[in-house]
Amino acid sequence: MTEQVSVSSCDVLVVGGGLAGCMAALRARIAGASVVLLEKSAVERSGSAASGLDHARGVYPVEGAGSLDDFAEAFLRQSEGMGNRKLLRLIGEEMPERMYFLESLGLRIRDDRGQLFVQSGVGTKQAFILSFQGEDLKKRLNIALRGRGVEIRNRTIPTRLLMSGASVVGATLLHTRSAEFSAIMAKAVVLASGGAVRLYPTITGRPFDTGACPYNTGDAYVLGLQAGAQMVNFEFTSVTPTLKSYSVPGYGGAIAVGARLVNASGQRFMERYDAQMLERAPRHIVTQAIYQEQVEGHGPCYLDFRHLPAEALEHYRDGLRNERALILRYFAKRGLDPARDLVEIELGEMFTHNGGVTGLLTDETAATNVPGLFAAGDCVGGIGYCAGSNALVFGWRAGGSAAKHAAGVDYVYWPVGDLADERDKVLGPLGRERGIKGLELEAAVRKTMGEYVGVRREDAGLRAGLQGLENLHNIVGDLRAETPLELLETIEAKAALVVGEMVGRAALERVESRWLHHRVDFPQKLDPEWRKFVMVTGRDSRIVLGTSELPT
Amino acid sequence: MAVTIDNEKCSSCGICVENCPGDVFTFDQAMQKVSVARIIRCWYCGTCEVDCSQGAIAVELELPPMAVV
Repeated sequence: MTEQVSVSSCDVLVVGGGLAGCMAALRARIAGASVVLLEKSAVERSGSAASGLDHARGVYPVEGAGSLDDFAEAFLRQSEGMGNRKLLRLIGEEMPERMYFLESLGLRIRDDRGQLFVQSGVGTKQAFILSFQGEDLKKRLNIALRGRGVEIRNRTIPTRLLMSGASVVGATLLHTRSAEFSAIMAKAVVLASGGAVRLYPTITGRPFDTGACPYNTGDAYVLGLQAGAQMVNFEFTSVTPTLKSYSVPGYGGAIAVGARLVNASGQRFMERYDAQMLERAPRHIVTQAIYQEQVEGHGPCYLDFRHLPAEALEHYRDGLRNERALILRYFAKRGLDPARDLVEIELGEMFTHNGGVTGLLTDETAATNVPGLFAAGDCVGGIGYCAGSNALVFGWRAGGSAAKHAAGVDYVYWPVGDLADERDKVLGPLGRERGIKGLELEAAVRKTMGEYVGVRREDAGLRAGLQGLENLHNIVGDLRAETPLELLETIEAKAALVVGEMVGRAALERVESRWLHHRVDFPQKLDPEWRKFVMVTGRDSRIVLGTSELPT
Repeated sequence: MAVTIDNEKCSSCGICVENCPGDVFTFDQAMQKVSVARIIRCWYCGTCEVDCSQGAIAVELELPPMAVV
């Protein structure tokens, strides 16, 4: 094809229109930068907060709140130390201002008396969790973005970051409905496209039946790899108990109201795994316990609400009604009444850990190690688990930093020649007569991950899995797509392959068991030797492994 | 699991097509109606049901065949 690829430009390019991306785009725009926001779906209903946000962790000016240090300690502990105390402290500190900003956009965060409703949550007795009605948060952000003149490009994804030397200078783009290929030059880029959710098999076998947003397919990790970004914590994949045959968050809510776990014999089996904390033991301990019960033949496992007083059950139902109404339909469909019946659970699908655990390393300005490249939200790693708040605080910081960086850039190099090759490569699968569809390749990747890089890992198995992924890499050239959406699915499948390799390699590297990473051949935690990050970097498009000291 | 559109109620405003995070819907120019084109990409987030101005969309939880214990 000899047609010219159309090229536009802006000061700040934001990849991803979720919470982090919207905050980054707004902040950069307020600073006076011209901003283009790319979103795979549509900003109004995209990302993990598609249906809104109803709670936000932070240190708010209320009675019962802990200190900033308490906040950082609580969330660092929940992440088994694999995080950054300083950055967690920053999150706690800046969250009130971020919430007041959202309040100014019309979000209701106070009761009729003007009070904030802040409670304690799992893992800490201090009140760090602000609750509010935020079903329309993404809509309000969308209105704010448009009102301030951010150029939103929905149904548009970057396919590659453009580099000038070691610096990022823009991206090539694909419109997922028209398959139109173009490019954009930018003085700064913010990656905010979430984690990798479609990486492991689902419990139903249907590829999009995931608890977390399935449209987050690790694109920031792939782009980061190409750009030479440093990334961490890929071995700490997350998995959580869920309702039988229905992958959905909300398990924590059940435990919070006092539900117990029992096995098929009615035994409260957590007594054997963590006699002190029982069901309130750290999530990974509960997960391994459920897995062990099933493997030993004591399953299935159940949530038991029957001993709870009526108010607790009502509180649980109210919480579901507000946050996850579909769960109530599940109970109705199954003819289950938690007051009377045991509720069967199973382990949900695995995914890269969100909330600031797995992904690109950033400093307090949200800068990565790549000049001109910033990152925020679930694609960021090394901070520690603080979902939602991490996106709001560091999304805001990323926008400010990106705008500042852009102001210091005189000109941006306009690419010549390479774009047509990139276009032909990206559009290649379209119209190919024979070959494998994206979802088929993705299914093979996810099956491999489930079999070899799952809840229990071991050297030979990990190597076999990585060999399997390498074999799948060899058929990437056979991918075909009949429609632009199927073309998107070929890109998503290729992303799963790359991120799968990152997870497998990181799991192979960490020869100990810690937190969410369990090595059968190295079942003990090896401090202080392994009290560090396993780092993944891209060099000439190859994955390079290393380690990095934990921040002090 | 199923997403259904009541064509009697649908006003073809296209909000579902515009907003669906999975790009599940498509606007059929010939019929001048919205239809579910790619259900496999559906996450069952339910926002289409919430956002439909006419209440024309129903998101139904269809569980895989399973015994009720």
